[in-house]
Amino acid sequence: MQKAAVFGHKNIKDAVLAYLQKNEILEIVLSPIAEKKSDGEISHELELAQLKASIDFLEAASGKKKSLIESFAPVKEIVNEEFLFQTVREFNWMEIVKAVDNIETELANLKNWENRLRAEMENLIPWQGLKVRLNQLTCTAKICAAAGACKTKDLEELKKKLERFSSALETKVVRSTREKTYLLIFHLLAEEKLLSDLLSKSNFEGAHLPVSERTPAEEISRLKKLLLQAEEGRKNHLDKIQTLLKHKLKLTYTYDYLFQKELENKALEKLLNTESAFMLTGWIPKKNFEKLKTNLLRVTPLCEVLAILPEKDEVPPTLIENPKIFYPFEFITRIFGLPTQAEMDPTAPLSFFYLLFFAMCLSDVGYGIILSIISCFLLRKLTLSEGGKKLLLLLFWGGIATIFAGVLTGSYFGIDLNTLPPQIGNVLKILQIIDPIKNPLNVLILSLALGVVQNLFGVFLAMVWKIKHREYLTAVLDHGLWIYFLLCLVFLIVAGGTGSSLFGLFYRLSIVGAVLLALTQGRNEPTLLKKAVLGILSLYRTTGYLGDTLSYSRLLALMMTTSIIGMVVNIIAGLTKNSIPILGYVIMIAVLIFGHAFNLIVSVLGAFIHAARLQLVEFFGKFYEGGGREFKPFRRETRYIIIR
Amino acid sequence: MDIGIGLAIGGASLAAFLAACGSAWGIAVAAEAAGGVLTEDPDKFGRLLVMLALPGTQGFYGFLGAFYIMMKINLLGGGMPVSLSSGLQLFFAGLPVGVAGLISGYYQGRASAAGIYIIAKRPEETGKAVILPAMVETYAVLGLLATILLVSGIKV
Repeated sequence: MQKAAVFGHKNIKDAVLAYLQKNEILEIVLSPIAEKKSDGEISHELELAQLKASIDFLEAASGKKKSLIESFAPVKEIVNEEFLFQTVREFNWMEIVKAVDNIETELANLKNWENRLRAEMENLIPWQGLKVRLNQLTCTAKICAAAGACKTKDLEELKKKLERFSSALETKVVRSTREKTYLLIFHLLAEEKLLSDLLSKSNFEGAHLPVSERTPAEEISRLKKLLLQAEEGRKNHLDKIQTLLKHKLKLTYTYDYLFQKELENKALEKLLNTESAFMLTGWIPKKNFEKLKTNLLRVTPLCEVLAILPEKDEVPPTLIENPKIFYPFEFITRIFGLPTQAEMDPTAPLSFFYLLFFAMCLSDVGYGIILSIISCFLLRKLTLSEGGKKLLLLLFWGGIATIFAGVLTGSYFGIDLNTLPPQIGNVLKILQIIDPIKNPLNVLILSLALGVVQNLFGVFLAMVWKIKHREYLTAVLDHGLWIYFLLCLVFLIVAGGTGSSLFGLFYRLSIVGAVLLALTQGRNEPTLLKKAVLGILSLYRTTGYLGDTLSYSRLLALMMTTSIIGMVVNIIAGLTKNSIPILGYVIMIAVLIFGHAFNLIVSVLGAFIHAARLQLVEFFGKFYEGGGREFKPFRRETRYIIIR
Repeated sequence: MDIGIGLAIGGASLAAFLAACGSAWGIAVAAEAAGGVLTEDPDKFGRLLVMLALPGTQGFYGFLGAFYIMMKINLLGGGMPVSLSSGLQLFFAGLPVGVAGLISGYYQGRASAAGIYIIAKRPEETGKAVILPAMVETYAVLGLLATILLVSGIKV
């Protein structure tokens, strides 16, 4: 990365920014002495928020469901720049936003009103049987009525209590269900206070009946009419929304148009301005610097481009670039984090292993073919973000690799090769090198061997990197010695396992390695005692390597999961075939399709995650830390459309 | 003779049902978190579905272990005589995947829920969120491996 500064006359500011935005070449950073103010430009944040709210509202009201694929990779329409400007200029978006806003408020009011009406109605429903007008229940000079409900099982007890309380009392049951009984209690006004105390102690729920000239039944039918009115009002609004919906597309255009303006404003704020000139600073990949210089001078001669030194504590952003074959694997690197300036890009080293592990986990010819076809189809059909494209490409290549792995493990949709006609079955059996179900131990050994290879390769990469940076001592003592020691251990185990006569030799070589490690690993400690203790303790890291290697056994587990579940699907389908005449075949086909689709999804998910995890945890742990900041050039960023 | 087969089936069923319970439990824990996120942002359904599927693998591993034991005693092909001691061996061989699946399933569900909160706040970091629960799964895989290796080592 190179830090660059662009100087120019203020008249060409827009031209320079437009050039940078179009070519996506430079990340603009805040100029060291820029005062943070926008020169007369208005912020569009409020307008953007309004537009977003309107678009969201219309989207929700349109009732269109997003497909599962869209929720991962939103489909963006491609719009010509001229056409966009033209449309936005002629479009009175404020009016639409206002109209949408009004409808939203009114719908909310209607909703509130409806809720209130419903609550009133519910309150009245138990009292329907009451044939008097509600205002007749209000207190007279001496007598009052208390309305409310109690539990039906407590009714008798309440009645007794009331009898004891006063003789000038009349109770009338209005409605009784199995759980609740609604009653009216007529009592003397003078006793009201005491009575209400008694009632609240006896779990009597008081009811507040509205004062009205109608009977409860009449009141309910009035409320029903009002509810119908509210419904009608809502329908009217929905019709209005339908007419507004056709403006949604233009609203999204406007949003992205203003969003561009906002981005430009933000960029402008980072510039340093004088009376008649400006200065812009930013990061640019080194190889693009000359290109920027010549091209910018071609756009306008009134400027100057200089390479400058970064501030002392300034960290340059990272841009990872890989040849086309490694490009999709950047997806895996990005999960972990980009490299810092002082680190290597792990994408190329991990790509081979990733593909191999993915293929081993899935390892079925049929699934590989389907996965490749689906991802190829989606790649062609969807307009994708960078990340989405990488992911689908990764799955495409994963599918291709899976086909090869499937041939070697003899897995074709989990079909038992013995059931195939011998002409085909025998050929496939010759191609089958390893059968994971019959010989899981062999696959386990293969998995662990791959683990050893990748772990050693990781340490080797760390060593190469140190050598490149001329840290020869660390390279040899830390990484070289460990490679030597681990290799000795591996050979020791192999020799021990096979009963080879070389066992004694490797045993001695391993001891030498261990001693060397014990002598060197504590070399950076100040005192002799610490040197010795840390040197010996460093041997403990062997268990770390052992654990990392064992982790690769997941390759076997996932391989078996895919093939056995595929097999079980076939077995179940075979059982259904003859269960019912004719219909049995239909069920069998359904079981086969759904069963294999399900297995494919679950297995691809597993293969993707576990192959990635082996890279991120086991492999990266040896040589890679990540933590770089992504290079974000000044460019067009849009939410809904792609501007061309 | 019969007790032997019974014990072997016991091992297979323990492997299948304990691990399946672990998965069900874990998915439920993750689904509770996902439900909360979906009320705010239904568009994240697809991503969250992936997170929900992660604690589901234990169930498969358990099933796999059970199936492996069934194959060992040729249960689907009519069965074969199993001695008491072989039955007992197969019974215990089924336990690693069952018990490891049960417990790791639940905890993987919790890890998934944590990942779901990452997606809620930073959907661009879905990749990292997916990796977290995979760390827990390692130990279910080891349980499965133990079962498979034990079963293939037993002589019926």
